[in-house]
Parts: sequence; structure tokens; C-alpha cells
Amino acid sequence: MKWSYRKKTILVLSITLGMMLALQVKTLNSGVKYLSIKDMYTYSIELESQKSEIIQLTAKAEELNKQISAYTTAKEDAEIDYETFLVGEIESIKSAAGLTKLEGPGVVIIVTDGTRDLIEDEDPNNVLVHDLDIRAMVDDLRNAGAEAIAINDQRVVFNKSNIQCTGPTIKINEQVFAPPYIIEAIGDRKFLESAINAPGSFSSALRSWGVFVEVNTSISVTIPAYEGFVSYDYAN
Amino acid sequence: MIIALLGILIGIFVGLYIPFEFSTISSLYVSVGILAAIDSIIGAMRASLENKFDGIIFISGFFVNAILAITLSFLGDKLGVPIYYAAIFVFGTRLFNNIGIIRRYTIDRYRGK
Repeated sequence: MKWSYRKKTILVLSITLGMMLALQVKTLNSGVKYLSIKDMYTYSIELESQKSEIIQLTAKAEELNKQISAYTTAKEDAEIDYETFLVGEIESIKSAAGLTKLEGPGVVIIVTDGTRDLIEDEDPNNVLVHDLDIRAMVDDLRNAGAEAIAINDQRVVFNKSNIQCTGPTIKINEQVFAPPYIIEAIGDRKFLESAINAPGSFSSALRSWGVFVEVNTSISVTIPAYEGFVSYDYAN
Repeated sequence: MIIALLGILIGIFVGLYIPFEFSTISSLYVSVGILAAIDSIIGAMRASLENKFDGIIFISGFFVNAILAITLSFLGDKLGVPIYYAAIFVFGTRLFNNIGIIRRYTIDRYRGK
């Protein structure tokens, strides 16, 4: 009787052990593996970054979905002309990229080399207009809220225009110009004018060197379109 | 001995076919518990060879050791100290001791026949 009791106990408990073993093996075979705490920490950091990426991508997807639904409503709604909608879209993108002719109130700035007599042994560069002067003035105008800028009828677009020194002349959009330089800008006339005339601005420093800078406000300034090609070789 | 192996085999078959799985987090603790259970069963086999087998001590040892090992490794994880090493060390040592003793008894019995 005692023997059978012992047998029974061992049998029952070894069945329990076998079950635990089988369940554990099943768990481990289902792609679960043991990790140390350090590994877990590393993985948790990775997980966090992946999660934030997911959030970003979800936001982007939402944005794109919104755009898609805008297009879809434009297509399906009989009251909205799909073609006009798309043409309007293209026009607005073109004008943002600087590929259209623009007209509006603004300023006309004339910059040319100084005519004052040089002091003895003075470097004549001091009274000449340089490419960096023009660049600084363009930046000042942008800061003052200029919406479109052209130099000698060459449109300055944000990622394709170059303003480069070529000896006594300046190359703008691959075209070489000699002084005087006429900078036209569309925007709030008062802001643009004061951006050039304000004491402490770059232009006031230019004036003190002897360079000729003149600002005229105009009710209507015409800024031509960018004439070069905008194409990318490396960016996808 | 044979009855224990038979029980483990039956248990493995039952465990493979019941639709239940341990969660990912608990699997480490369960493995330490399994070690404790193996130790208890080997200990019981040794005791029965020595004719010192006590059912209450066996059953209580089986469950208390397993639960203690699981609790210790859980606590160690929370504290950042791998306490389950202690359980592995103790049970591992005892496993080898017990198996050594069983082996000696079995060989003696065989020779005595």
C-alpha cells in the first residue's frame, strides 16, 4: 500500500513536471527567446525610437490622406471642375517655386559703385559693389518679408539662384552683370524700404563706405519668372 | 525510476496538446521552476532508493521549491540582480549530487544481486 502511494505521488508530480517542460518548450519554440536585462534595455530604446517613427509616419500618412480626399472630392463632386482645380494647384505651386511672373507693390533698389575720390593708398574695393553686398541685401529683404526678388530682371529663387563674384562683374543665375544693380522686391513697401534704410542695416554700412544705394517704393513692381531649369540629379 | 520517466512522458504529451502557453515574461521564471521540480523528483527517487520516502515532504518540496525559485528570480529581476543564478546553482548542485547517489545505489544493487 505504501509503495503504491509513493508510486502515485511520483507519477502525478512527474506528470506536472512533464507538462511544465512541454509548455515551456512550446513557449520557447514560438519565437520567444530569453533576454538579459541589458539587452532588454537596448531593445526598449530601439522600440521607443521605432514607435516615434511610426507616429511621425502616421502623421505624414494622415496628411497625404487628407490631400487624397481633397483630390477625390474635387473629382467626384460635380460642382467642382476637376481640371480647374488641378490647374489652380499647379499655378500656386509654380508661383511658390518662382516660375511665374509676379506683380505687386514693392521697392526698387539701385546699387552702384561709389563715385567718391579715394583717400591716398585706399583700396578701390571699398567703393565697389561685391557679390556678398548683394547677397546681404537680398537676405535683408527676405527678412523684411519680401515675397519675390529679382536682380537686374533675374529672378532670385530659393534653391537655384546663385549670386557670384566674377571680377568686376557679378554673375546672377548664370548671367553676368556690371553695375548698376537694380534689385526689385515685392512685399510690404514700408518694411522693405526700412530694411534698406534703417541705421545699422547692411545697406547703411555700404553707404558709409561710399557705395551708392537708393531705394524707391513703387505701387507696382513686375518680377519676371525664373528662366533656368529646375531639375534634380541626386535628390529623389 | 521508470514510473517517473513514464510520468514525465505522459506530462509532455498532455502539455503539447493542451491549448495553453506561458506568457513571454513568465517563461524565464517557469524555467527556474522547472529546475526546482526536476530537483524534487530526482530527490524523491533518491529517497525511495534509501527507503526514506515521505510523501508530504516530497509534495511540499516540489511546490515550495518551485514557487521559491520563481519568486526569487522575479524579485531579482525587479532589483536588477540575477538572483536566479542562486536557484540554478543550488538546484544544479543538488541534481548532480542526487544523481550520483542514485547511480551508486543502482550499481550496488545490481552487483548485490
